Order: sequence, then structure tokens, then C-alpha cells
Amino acid sequence: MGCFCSTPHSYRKAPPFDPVALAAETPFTENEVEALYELFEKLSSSLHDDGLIGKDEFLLALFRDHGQRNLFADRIFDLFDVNRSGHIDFTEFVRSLGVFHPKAPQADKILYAFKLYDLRRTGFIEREELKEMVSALLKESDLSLSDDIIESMVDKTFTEADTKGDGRIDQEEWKEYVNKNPSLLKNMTLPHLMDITLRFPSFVMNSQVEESHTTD
Amino acid sequence: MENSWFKKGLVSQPRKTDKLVFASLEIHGSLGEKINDFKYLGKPDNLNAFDIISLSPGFDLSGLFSDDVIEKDRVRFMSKQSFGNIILKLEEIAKGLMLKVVKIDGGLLQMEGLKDGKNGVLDIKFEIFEIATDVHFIEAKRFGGDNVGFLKILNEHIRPALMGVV
Repeated sequence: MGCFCSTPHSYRKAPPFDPVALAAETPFTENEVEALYELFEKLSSSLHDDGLIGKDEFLLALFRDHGQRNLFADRIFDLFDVNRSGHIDFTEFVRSLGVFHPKAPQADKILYAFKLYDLRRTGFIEREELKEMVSALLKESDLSLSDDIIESMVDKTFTEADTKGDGRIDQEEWKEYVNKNPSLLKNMTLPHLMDITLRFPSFVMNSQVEESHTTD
Repeated sequence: MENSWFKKGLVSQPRKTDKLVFASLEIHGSLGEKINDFKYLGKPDNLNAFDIISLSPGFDLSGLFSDDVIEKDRVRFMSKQSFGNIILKLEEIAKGLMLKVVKIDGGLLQMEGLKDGKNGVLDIKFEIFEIATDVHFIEAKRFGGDNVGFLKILNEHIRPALMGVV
């Protein structure tokens, strides 16, 4: 495998990604993509050293508990894992985080949120899905509300959003609803992404040359 | 210490609610003297079903970026009481615990301790939202002070007083 360099921030193998390409298709700069790779390496090796983020490693990072059950974390994981391989690779990681960047287009965030809530991936948010999500939230937070109250809350929200009255929320209705209630997108922006290079300083740009000297 | 969750802000845009709620409120100083006595005209924002769902920590990806131990510095609960009653009870409890109510605005209430501790003065913000008539969702978040003390106040004093069954 070659010598494992003990200098910090060096790679055991050549980074398997193209920072230029990834920077071009996301709001990240090349430096930020490199910084994200540092983060990715850390997360993807926390439980299994396979260069991929598994569901358990994802949950460990979010909750400090790889056994934590959470419907919404599951949905986020599924959306990150675009090719449904069961793992998040670096490209998927960067592309998804790109949507959460403060500078990402609103339209991308709106669509991402829609897909998050479309639990059964039918292309619509059905009333049962909305109720299921409310119930899941209440359960995970140890909160309780009577079924009557849950029903009336779901009804009210659904009626407001389902302007065509066909029993389901489509992308167009969702867009209108979000425009009226912009706070619904607050989860779709991560301010942390603005200073990612400070948290994970990357020396790849400089050290690539040095590394070819030290690995022999 | 910046808290990423607070940066996002839970308070949504003000929405029309059908009822205006007001409660008579007294603000007391640290020695228990009455500073102010005024009618508080406030209304909490409504939470719709999607707002509720957004509360899940499963959506909070900030844990990916830090190694910090995730401290349980917020407590959420439902209160089956009117907004006015909730405000009155919080003010009452604050007085009993020698905490100062320093800010009230819409569905937001802040309590501040008086003794400076290791982590600064205890600073708790309450956000109150209406779910249905006389059903409110309350989130208490600690912004300063000792977390153990915070949890004790919430679990031993505030939740029992507010959760109340009708």
C-alpha cells in the first residue's frame, strides 16, 4: 500500500475526486471541497474504514449514537445516497451538502425539502405521509397530543397547502406554500458551510507535491 | 458560545391568529419589588404541521461538523393551557426561584438568574407556539449558566406547572 505518512493532512492514496469538477457543480470553492474531503474522511472511517459513510456512521455523527432511530435522519440519508447503494460516497456528500449551502439556489432547496417529505417517493406529499411525520416527531420528542388534535392540525395544514384539492401536495403547490411560509426552509441552510475551510484546513493544494517525495 | 440551532431561529413569520391574548403581568426586581405592572398584548405564532416536523433533530446536520458532546440544553413540552395562563405561571415560578423576567415579546419570554456561575448567569429563553386552541408547544433553551441547574428548574418546577391536564 506504500508508506503511511505521519504528517497531518496527507493522504494515503490519491484523493479519488476532482475538486475542480465538484466545485463547478456546487456552491463550494475548490478549497472548500478539499476541506469537505477532510470531514468526509473523518466521518467515513469512524466505524468502518471503507471510504464511505454508512448509515450507522451518519447517525453517529448526527446524534453521537449510531443506534439512534429517527425518521427524518433516515430521509436525509436516503436523499444523500442518490444511487441507493446504502452508503454515501464523497461525490454524493458534496452534492447534497451543496444544497444546504447558504448560496445554493432557493429552487434547489425547495425541491430537496419536497423530496424529504415525500416519504414513499410517489412524487407527491400525501396526507397520510404528513400525519405519519407529525406522529414520528411527537414520538421522538416524547410529546403527546390526542389523535383529534393531530388530525385537526394535519387537516388545517393540508387544506392550506393542497390548493388544487386533490388530496395530495404536488411540487407546484409546495412551492407556493413555501413562498407563503419561508420559515419552512430553515432546515435547508447550514451556516456551518460558510467557514468549512476554517474548521478543516486542508493542505492538499500545497502538499501534493511534497507527498510524492515522501511516499516511496 | 454561538449555538447553530438558535442561528436558524425557530420564530417563524408572524401569522394572523384569530384571537389576541393578553395577560396582566408584573415584573419584579431582584429584591421582589414591583417594577412594572402592565397589560401585555401578545400573541404566540401558530405552528403548522410542517413547522412541527422541522423541529426534529434529525434535520439538524450541525453535528456533522463538530466533535462537541451534544448537550441537552433544550427542553420541549406541550401545555394544555391558555397562553395567558402560561405567561402568568412562568412569571410566578420565576419570582419563586429568584429569576428575573427580562424580556417578553410575542411568544418569547426570557428568564435570567442573578448569581454568576461558572458558565455565566443562567439565561433561559422560552418560545411558545399555539398548536390548537389552548394547546401550546413550548421550547425552553439555555443560553448561559449551568445545564444541570437548567434541567432541574425545567423538570421540577416548570413542566409540572404547565403540562397540566384539563
